[in-house]
Amino acid sequence: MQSPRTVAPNISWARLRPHIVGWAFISPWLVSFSFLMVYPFIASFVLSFTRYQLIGEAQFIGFENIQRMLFEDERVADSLRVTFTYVLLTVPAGTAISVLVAILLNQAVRGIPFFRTSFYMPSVIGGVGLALLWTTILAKNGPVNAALGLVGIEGPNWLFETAWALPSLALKALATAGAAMLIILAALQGVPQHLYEAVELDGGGEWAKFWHVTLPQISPAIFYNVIVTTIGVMQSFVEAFIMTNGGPGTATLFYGLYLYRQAFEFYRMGYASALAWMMFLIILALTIINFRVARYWVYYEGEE
Amino acid sequence: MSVLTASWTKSKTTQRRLRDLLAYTLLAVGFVWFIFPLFWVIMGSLKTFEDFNQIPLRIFPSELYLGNYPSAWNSVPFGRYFINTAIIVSLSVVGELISASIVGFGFSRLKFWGRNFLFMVLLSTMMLPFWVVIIPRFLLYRDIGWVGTWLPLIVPSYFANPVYVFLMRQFFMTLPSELDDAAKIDGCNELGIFWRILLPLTKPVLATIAIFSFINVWTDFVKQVIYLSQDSTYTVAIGLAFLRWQIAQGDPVPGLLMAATVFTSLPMIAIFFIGQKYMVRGIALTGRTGT
Repeated sequence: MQSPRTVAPNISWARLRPHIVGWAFISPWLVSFSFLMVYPFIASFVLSFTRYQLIGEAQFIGFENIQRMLFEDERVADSLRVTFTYVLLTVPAGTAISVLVAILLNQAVRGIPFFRTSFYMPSVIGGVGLALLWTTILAKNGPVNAALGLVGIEGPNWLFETAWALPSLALKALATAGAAMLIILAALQGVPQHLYEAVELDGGGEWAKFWHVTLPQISPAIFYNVIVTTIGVMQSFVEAFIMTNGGPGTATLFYGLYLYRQAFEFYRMGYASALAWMMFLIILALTIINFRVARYWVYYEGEE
Repeated sequence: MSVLTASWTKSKTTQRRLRDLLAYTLLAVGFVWFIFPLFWVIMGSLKTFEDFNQIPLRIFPSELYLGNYPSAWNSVPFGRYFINTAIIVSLSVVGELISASIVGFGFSRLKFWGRNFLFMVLLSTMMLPFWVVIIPRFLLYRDIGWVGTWLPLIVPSYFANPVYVFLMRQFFMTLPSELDDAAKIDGCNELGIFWRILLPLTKPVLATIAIFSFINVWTDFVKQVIYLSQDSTYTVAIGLAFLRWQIAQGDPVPGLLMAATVFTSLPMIAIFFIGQKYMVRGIALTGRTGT
């Protein structure tokens, strides 16, 4: 008569145990997921409908922030224009460069490890250091203008002229796209050799190999890079903050920089939250569009 | 016949040579494109003020002038900033390693309710923009009195960064499950399997995570500038930004800025050379460099 009482909990403990242990192992992430992801994600949505300047209580103001952001604050439109332009200047060109450089680094010539190291190295410096480095490269009397001077062109003061400031930042981004290049290189090295041999048997040349084998095979890696760099570039901040301070005028006023100023210089936490949520929605939309378009150009193994 | 073969081989080698020539030319262009900025800044750090105003612009310094380094080092309290940054970085790296390996083990070697779903959730949070969560995080840290301290920069490292969890999980998945079974038969529980059997095998991926998180924390200017507010707590990146704004306000010594850029980049470059192998593998695996 006693056995059911003692056995039953044991069985359920034996059943429960792996689940409890599993959840215990992932609990550190569950903590950060709850407190540093889910909570802030919801809280910033709620804050979007308030006025809150760090002191006192957050005041509910309905759609005032959203109305201001969408229809009244011209800076928002400016910064969105700047950010989209920056995405268009850096993502397609950066993708093309990363593919070309990766193909170059995949050639069977001597000294490749040396070149790979030197191509990737500038991107590890990162952040403020890299921004300062490019500030000196693009200075009025810097090496870029000296090189232009050799062919008789008087270069502009890159970072301080409205027309050139944003392209200058884009140039910097293109010269430091090391990680993307390495991802493509890894994909290239994973292309099965027998596919190339098949093209050779069919009498195809180098171009056919590239077009019918290499490109489809590395397209998932390219797609991945496009997604990740688009999301990253949309959030750009440090380049503008350090190199141009958003100027001249609003020429390099990235959306991230504008958001930072609203939040941490003017302490408009409610308004900045509304801006942040709009950024989230825009990035989400861009990612969805990217996935839709991917159907037409990304090749996945085992798909017809 | 033999003549034909000979000429065919010859043209093949010529073609091959042309190809190599083209490859090296392009590699040289790439080399200049990627490395010249770094070279320029190193040369610039060794130039005197006069060197910068010469026409035509000189690439090499007129003399080996080392004075920029001490002036840059002393123009901002870099000594203290280096120590501060080293403390923040080393405590963060330890946290990332511990938490990512524990959580990565859970997601790869254990079976439990909701595992696959939660892992999908974890992957999707990697796409969540930083800016959408930063304001409530800031308010949260302020409410518990952490703003102005290093805690917001360090403590989250102990709660598993999704990118490193992913890296860890991918690695654990490659280890044979027989290892776990054998250990279980020997009476090992999950913690024992994790700590004694599998963790010693993950050294390469731990190295990758250590390098990524070192570089990411060291260069994470945004968080540092948001959370820190007193000179005694500032970091190297903030020091560099100070230097930049001093220059913008008319300090006329470009060599000083360049010297500061060089010595603040040295830890990154050193880590890169030590751990290049692990970094390359990690990037290939996760497709990113962290955070």
